[in-house]
Amino acid sequence: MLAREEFAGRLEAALGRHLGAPAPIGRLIRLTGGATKATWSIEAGPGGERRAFVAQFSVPRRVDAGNPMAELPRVLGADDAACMIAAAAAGVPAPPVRAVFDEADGLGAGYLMDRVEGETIARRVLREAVYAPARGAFAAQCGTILARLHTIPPAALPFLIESGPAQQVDLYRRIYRSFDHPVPALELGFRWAEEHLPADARTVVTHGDFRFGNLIFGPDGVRAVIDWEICHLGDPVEDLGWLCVRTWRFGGSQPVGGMGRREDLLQAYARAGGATVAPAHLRFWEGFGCLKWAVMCMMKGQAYLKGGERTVEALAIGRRMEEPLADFYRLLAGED
Amino acid sequence: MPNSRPVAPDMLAVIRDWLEREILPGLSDDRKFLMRVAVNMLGTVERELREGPALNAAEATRLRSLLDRDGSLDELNRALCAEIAASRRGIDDAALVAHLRRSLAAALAVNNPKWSPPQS
Repeated sequence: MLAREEFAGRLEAALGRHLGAPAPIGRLIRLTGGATKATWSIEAGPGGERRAFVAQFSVPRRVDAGNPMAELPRVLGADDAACMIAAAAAGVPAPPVRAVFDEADGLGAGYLMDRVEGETIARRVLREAVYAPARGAFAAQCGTILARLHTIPPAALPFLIESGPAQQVDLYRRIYRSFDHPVPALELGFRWAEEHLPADARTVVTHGDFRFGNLIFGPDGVRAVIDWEICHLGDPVEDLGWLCVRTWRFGGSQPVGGMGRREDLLQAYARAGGATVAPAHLRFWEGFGCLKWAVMCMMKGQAYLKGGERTVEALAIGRRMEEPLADFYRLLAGED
Repeated sequence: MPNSRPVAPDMLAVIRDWLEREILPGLSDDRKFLMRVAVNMLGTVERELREGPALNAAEATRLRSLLDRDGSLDELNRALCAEIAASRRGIDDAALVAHLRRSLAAALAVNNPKWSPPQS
């Protein structure tokens, strides 16, 4: 990784090049950093004005040959930016992309977008009075956004890989088994998923991680959908179900992101041109979403055993695996 | 374990309390977040030391009766996974599902007691 000063210098040069005018950087703050991703908040003034940007950099996931994790969707740099551009064109609120960094920039794979002001922290959106209108509108707004998102023409994003329900059940089971940590509750969950594969799955552009944390809120509702890096071609109901997974409710009492009713989500989705979704189809993706999150907890929490991330945060996530598994059996028992 | 006092979970508890009361309030926001995660993790280790042996013994007892065989907890869980993978036991097996839900509730009691346990 570049030293901060060197990075800042190259970034300033890249901004000038792509924005068409010298853009001296005022503030430069690293928002998130990880093994595979870094996000920077930038205030820079092309031609003397002061504008707020976010730069996103990603590096390919490093896994051994033959590791099933290599088959997971991963959209990087220019492709990630292309997803947001295509989404905006389809009427999805997404941050305007201002530049895609290239080799001449010497920054690695990444892009520059406008910073969308707002809140991403679930606890605040779920509790603070100012977000009451956003909470009330959330389920229907997400239905509308997802209906538009699922109209993104796949031809615009030829790099996307296909990952439908049967493929995902198979892939996540292989990932789980690669850890050699037998978990009967997960094993039985995969059997259930296999036996309940949706018969009427379609194939469209799906966001893949549409939930709290990847949505920027203003008081009136969702202002932007971010984090397109696991975008893929898949069943549209995947996005609807993932949004209802109990983990992403962050303690909120309602099924849709803790804030709304499933009926409102599905009605708005159909009204905005999405297909009518059968309850069992949504239930498959909610149930399988729980299993996926359990496997993701395993991936994050046990990566250190294979030379991966060894941090307090990563290991703590490993111990969250039983949360979605308990939720899975609650869903099956009709308790959710 | 040495015949020494204080016992390990009590030592963890006092470290956790000290970090939470004395260190956490003075930290910057991003470090505060990670310190909270670390403090919670110490709580998990403490609960595992205190309650883990009894919870594991109860799980093994249930597994022995479910599988009608003996073995260590790990062996029994492997055997159960093999039975499920081979379709010898399915989602309609009420005794199996009840056992799994009890095991998940036990794990949550250690890992995150605030996560509402399943009602079974």
